[in-house]
Amino acid sequence: MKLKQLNRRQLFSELGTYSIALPLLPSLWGDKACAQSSVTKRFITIHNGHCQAVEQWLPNPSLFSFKSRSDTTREINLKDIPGNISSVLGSSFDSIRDKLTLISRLDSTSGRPNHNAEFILSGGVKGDIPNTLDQIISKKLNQNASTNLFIKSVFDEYNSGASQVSLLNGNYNAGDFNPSFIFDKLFSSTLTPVTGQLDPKVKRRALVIDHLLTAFKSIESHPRLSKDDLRNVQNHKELLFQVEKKVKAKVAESSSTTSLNKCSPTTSITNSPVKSGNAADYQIVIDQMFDVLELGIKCGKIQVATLMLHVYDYFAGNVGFIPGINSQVRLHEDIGHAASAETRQMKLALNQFFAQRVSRFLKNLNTTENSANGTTYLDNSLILWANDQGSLQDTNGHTSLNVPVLLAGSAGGFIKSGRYIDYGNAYTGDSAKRAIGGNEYNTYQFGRPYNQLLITIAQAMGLSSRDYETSGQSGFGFYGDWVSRYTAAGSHQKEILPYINS
Amino acid sequence: MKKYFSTHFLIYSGTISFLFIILIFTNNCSVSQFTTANNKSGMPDTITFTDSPKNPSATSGVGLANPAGQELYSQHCASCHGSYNNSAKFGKSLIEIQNAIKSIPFMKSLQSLDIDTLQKIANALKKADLPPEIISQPGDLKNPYICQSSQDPGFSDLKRLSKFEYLNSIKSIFNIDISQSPFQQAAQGIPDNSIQTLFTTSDNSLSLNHLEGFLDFSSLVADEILKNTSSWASLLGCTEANLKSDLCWSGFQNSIAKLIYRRSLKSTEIEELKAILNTSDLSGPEAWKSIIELMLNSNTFLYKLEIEGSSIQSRSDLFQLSQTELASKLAFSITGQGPNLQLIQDAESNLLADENFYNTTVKKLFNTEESKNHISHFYQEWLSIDRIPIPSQPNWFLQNISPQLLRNEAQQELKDFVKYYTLQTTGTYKDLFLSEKSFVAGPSLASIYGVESTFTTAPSTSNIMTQLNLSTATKSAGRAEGNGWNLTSNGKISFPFTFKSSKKYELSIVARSQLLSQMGAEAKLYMDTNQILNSFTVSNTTANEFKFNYTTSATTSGSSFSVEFINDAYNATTGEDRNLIIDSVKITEINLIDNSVTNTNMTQKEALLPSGERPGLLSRTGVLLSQGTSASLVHRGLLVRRNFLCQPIPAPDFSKIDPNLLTPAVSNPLSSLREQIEQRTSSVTCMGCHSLLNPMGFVLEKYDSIGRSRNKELVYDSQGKLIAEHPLNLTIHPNINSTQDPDVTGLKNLSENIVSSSRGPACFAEQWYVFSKGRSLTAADSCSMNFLYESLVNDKFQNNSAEKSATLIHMFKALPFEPHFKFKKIKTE
Repeated sequence: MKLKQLNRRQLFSELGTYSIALPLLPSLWGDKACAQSSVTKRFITIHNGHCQAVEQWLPNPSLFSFKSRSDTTREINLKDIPGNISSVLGSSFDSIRDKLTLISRLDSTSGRPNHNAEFILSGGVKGDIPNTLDQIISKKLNQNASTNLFIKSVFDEYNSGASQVSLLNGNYNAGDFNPSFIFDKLFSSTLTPVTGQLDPKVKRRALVIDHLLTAFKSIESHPRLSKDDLRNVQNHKELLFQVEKKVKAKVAESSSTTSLNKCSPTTSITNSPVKSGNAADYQIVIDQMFDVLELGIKCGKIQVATLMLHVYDYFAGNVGFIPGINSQVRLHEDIGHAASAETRQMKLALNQFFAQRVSRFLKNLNTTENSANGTTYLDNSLILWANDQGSLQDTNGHTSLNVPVLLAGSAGGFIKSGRYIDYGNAYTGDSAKRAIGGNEYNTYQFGRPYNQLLITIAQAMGLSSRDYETSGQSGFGFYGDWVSRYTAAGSHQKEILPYINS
Repeated sequence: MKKYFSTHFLIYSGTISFLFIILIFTNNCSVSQFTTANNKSGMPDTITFTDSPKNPSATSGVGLANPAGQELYSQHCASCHGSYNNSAKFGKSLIEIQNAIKSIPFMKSLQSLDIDTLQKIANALKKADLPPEIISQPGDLKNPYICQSSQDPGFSDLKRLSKFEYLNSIKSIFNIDISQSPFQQAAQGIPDNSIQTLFTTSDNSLSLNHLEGFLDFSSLVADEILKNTSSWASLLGCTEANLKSDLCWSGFQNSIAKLIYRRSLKSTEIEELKAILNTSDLSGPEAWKSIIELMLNSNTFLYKLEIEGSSIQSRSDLFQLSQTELASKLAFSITGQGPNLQLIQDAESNLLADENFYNTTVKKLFNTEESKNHISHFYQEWLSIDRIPIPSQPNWFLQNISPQLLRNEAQQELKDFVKYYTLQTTGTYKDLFLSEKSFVAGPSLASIYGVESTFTTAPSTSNIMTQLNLSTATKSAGRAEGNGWNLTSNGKISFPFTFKSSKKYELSIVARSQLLSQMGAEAKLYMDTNQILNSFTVSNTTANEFKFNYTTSATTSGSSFSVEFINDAYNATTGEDRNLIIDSVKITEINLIDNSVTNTNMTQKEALLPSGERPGLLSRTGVLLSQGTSASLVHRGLLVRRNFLCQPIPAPDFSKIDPNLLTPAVSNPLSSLREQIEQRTSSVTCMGCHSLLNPMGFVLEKYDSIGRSRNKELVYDSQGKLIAEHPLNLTIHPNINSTQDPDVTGLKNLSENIVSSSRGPACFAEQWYVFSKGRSLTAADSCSMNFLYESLVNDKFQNNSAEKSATLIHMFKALPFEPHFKFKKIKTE
C-alpha cells in the first residue's frame, strides 16, 4: 500500500501543513457562532445544593388549574400562571416564560444522593456510574474527546468532595474556580497557537482510520469470507466511516479555529476575587462565572459546561451578605440543615439570589443567534438548573424526592417550552394540591424517576441510547432500590419524559 | 446415510497411546485425500473429505433429507399441523413430541406409535442447525454423535476477539497490567460481550461503541507505552534519539509486530507501516503511536482471520489452516489469548506440522497459568458463577448469615470444586455430579452444610498489615483534622485496595464522633461502591477501634472500600454538630490455613459433608441460591435442563399466559410448592416445557432457597414464625434420555441417572465445545463432538493429551486433537 495512492490520506497530510489553530481546551467546541451562520446545540448545567424548600420553588396550584394530559401528567402554560411563577423565581423570568420548562415530581431512586452536581447529572453519587451526563454529551459532541468545561463558583481550599463537579471514568473532575483564568484560556491570544498542526490525537486517529478503511475494503473481496463474515466486515467498515465522519468534523473544527480567535468579546473579565476574604466577593465570582459562560457560548467556544454554585466551605459557609440573610449565618449548617420558619425564609432569600443570577444569564442568552430564522442562543441551548435536594420540609435527610428542575431553552426545538409540568399520580380529590411542600412527605405521590429527565436531555442533544447506555442496562444513570416504586412510570428507562416535546 | 459404506472408527491402542483415525470415503462420491501431518510415528494419520457436499445435513444423517420421516409426518401429523413443507412444528424434538402425545388429549391416538417412528418424524422436523437427537437408555453410554466418513467440519465464522481475549492479548503483548489505572478505566469503554444463552464467547456483535472503545483503548496503550520513549527504545534495541531508524524498526518487526498480527508482517504491511514511521511531519514517538494504534485496530488483530490455509481438493469452502492460523487457534482455544513469540516462530518454521511437536506444544500451552484461567473462565460462565445473586431473604431466614459473604463463599466453592476435579486431580464427570467432598470456603457455607469450617487462623506473625493513607484517600465530604479526616457532612472516605482471593481480611477503623443530642455518628462500610458490608455507630467522642472481617471470593483489583457517614446533623440553637472523625484505618491480611488441604486423607475429607445429603454440583448453594424465602423450583429446573442437559427451553409467550401464573409460587399453608406448581402448569400450553422443568426442580426441593438441606417444606409468616409444614415428594419422572426413563427419588438418584446417561456427559462436552467455538452446535460438528464425548466417558479411549482417559481434563485437552480442529469450513448456504 502506498500513501500516494490514497486521496484521503493526502487530504490529512496536507491539512497538517496548513496553519490550523488548535483550540487549547478540548472542550472548546469550535462553531461558527461568530459568523452566526449555523446552529449548534449546547448543554449547560447549573447546580446549587442544599437549602431547598420546594413549595417556595414551585408555582402555587391553588392559583390556577392544571390541564390533565394523562393520569400521571398535568401541565399549565407558564404564561397562564397569575403573578409570579413562584416565590423563588419571582418576576425576573417573566420575559422568557415561553423559553422555560418547570418540572415537578422527578424523584431520585437512590437513598443516598449528596451535594454535588454529579447527582443532578447521574441520579447517583460517585461510584454509582462511571460518567455523568455532561461527560457523555461532551464525549459525543467532541468526537470522543471526553472533555467538558467545569467551573465552580468559588475557591474551596479543602478541595473536598463537596466542591467537585462531575464524573469522568469514575473520577471527579474538579472545576476551575477563577473566572478571569477561564476567560484567559478562552480568549487570550497568548494561549491560542497562531500556527500549528492538528491535535496530535486527532491527526493520529485520522491517519489510523484512513488506513483501516483501506484494509477493510481490501478484505471485503476475500473469497474465504462467508456471506455472514462479509456482513460483519462491511458492518465494521460502515462503523469506521462513522468514526471517520467525526474525525473529519474535528479536523474541520480545528481549521475553523482561526476565525474563532477573531471573536473578541467586548467585556473582559479580569482580576476575579478568588481567595478573597470579603464575603461579598461571592456574588462577584458567581456573576463573572455566568459572564464567562455567556461569552464562551456566544463565541462558539463552549458547547458543554457545568457550573456548580454551591460550595459551602467558602468563607466558612457564611452567606450573610445575601439580602434577607442575617450575617454570620452559615449556608450548610444554619440554613441547609435547619427547618425553622426563619431559616426557611433564608432558604428563600438564598434561592432568590441564585434565581436573579440565573435569570440574568438566560436573558442575556436570549439574543438572536441565527438571523435567518430568528432563533436565539437560548433557543439552541438546553440549560438545566437543578438542586440535588427536594421535597421534605427541610433538607436534613438529603432526600431527593421531587428534585426542583428548571429547563431553559429548547435544544433547537426539541423541548416544547413555556410550561410547568407536574408528573406523577393525581392527588385524588384535591386537584389544587401542591406537588409537595411542607410536611407532606407521608402523603407524597411519587412522580417519575429523575433519570428520565437525563434520558430526555441526552436525546434532546442528539444522543441515542447507544451513546448513553452502559453495560447493557436500559436508561441512564444510577437506578437505586427505590426504582421499583415507579412501575406506573412505564418504560421510563427507555423513553423520554412524556409530553415534554408535544 | 445408506450411501456410505462405513462410518469412521476410533481405534484405540492402549499401549501406544496415540490416536489413529481413519475416515473412509463413500463409494459413490469422488474422493480427495491428504495427509494432515508429517507423521513420524509411522502410523497412518489421514483424513478424507468428499467433494463439495452442499447439504451438511445430508452427510450427518439428520435433518431435512429424511423421506421416510416426511412420509410418516404426512401420515400422522399433517392433518392437524399442515403439510410437511409448511409445518409449524419444525424443530420439535423427540422428547417434545412424546410429551405432546402424552399430555394433549387429541393426540392420544398417536400413543400407539413406537419410538422408531417418532424418532424418524423428529429427525424429519429437525432443523439443520440443531444438535443430533440423543437416543439412549439409562446406563447406555453409547456415543450419541455419529461421525460419518468424509464428513465436513462444522462451519467457522469470522470471529472478532472477545473483550476477554482482546484485553488478555494486549496485556500479554505489551506486558502491561490492564487491571490498573489508567487501563482499567479505559477498558470500561469497551462494551462487555453479552451473554448468548450461557457463554459470552458467542457474542460476535460489533457496534460503534465497540469500535470507539477499541480505538480509545489502543490510543491509550500507545500513549502509555511510549510515554517513556527511552524504555520503548530499549525494548526495540535502538536509541531514543533515533526512533525512526531501521534498527528500531527491525526490533519492532521481529517482536511486537509479530505478537500483534500473530504472524510475521507481509511485505505490503511493512511498506505501509514504514511509510508512517518515515512520515516527515510525525515525530518518532508520534509515528510509533500511530503504528501501534493502527495495528491494534486492524482486522488482523481484532479478528481471528483464518483465510490463508491450503484448499482441500480445490474446494473454495474447505481448507486446512495455515501454520500461523493454527498456532493462533491453539493459543486462543487453550489460553484465551494470542500466541507468544515462540509459538509464532515454531509455526512459521513449520514445526507444528510434526505431530510430536504439536502434541508437546499443546501440552505446554495447557500447562500455563493462562490456560488454567481459561478453563476456570469456562466453568465460571457454564455455572453462571458471576450471576449468583446476593441473597435478600430477611435475617430471620438467613439466621445471621451475611448475604454478601454467603454469595462470595458460594461462588468460591463452585470455583474450588471444579478446579479440584479438573486441574488438581484426575476428576471425572461422575465426580461433578456425585462427589460429596466439601469445598466450604467460609463459615457461612459451613453452617448451611452443617459442617465445621476447615479454616483456622495462622499465627499472627504471618499476617500482613497495611496502614492506609488518609491523606491520599478519596473523600466526598469533610476536611483534614489532625492526622485524620473529619466527615463534616454526610459523605464517604474511600480507600483503593486489592483484596486477594480466598484471603481473610480484618478491617480496623479508629474513629470518634462529635455528638448531637448525645447521639453519635452512624456509618456504613462499603466494598466497592455499593456492597454494604456492615453498619456501625460511633458513640464516643474519644477514639475507638472498630474491626470487621472480610473474605473475598476472588482477587480484586481496582477495588476500594469506603466508610460512609450517614446521619449528619446540626442544631443551630445548641450549636451541636454531629460529625464523624476517622483517625486511622488499617487492613490486615490474615493468613488462613485450610485444614482440609493439609489433610490428605480423602475419606476424611469426603466425610465432611453428611453422606447422601449433597451429591455433586447440583446440591451446592452456588447452584441453588435464590433471593426469596421460597425455593425457586422452576428456575432450578431450567438450570438443570439448560446448563447440564443442553435442552434449550424457550421463554413462554407472556402475552398468552394469565399474569397471575407468572408470579412465582410462594410457600403457603394450604398447599405445597410442588402442588402449586403442578396445578399452575397443568394446562396443555404450559406442559410442553414444564413437563421437563418441573421434575428437576421438585427433586431439588430437598434444599431451601439458600441451600440448606431439609426434610419438609417449611412455611413461615412474614415475621419468620413457622405456620405450616408440607412433606417433600422427591420422586419424579426424570425424562433425561426419553420418556421411558424410570422414576427416580432424590437428587443422588437423579445425579446417578444424569451421569449414566448419554445426554449428561454429551452436554458437558458440548458446552466446552460451544464455549471454545463461540457458536451453538450444528449437526456438522458431530465428528468433533464424537471425539470430545469419547474423551470424557470412554476409559479405553486415549487422545494425544497424555491425560488419564475418561477424565474431565482429558476431555478439555481433547479439543486440539479432535479431527476437525485444524480445518476450516466456510458457511456456504
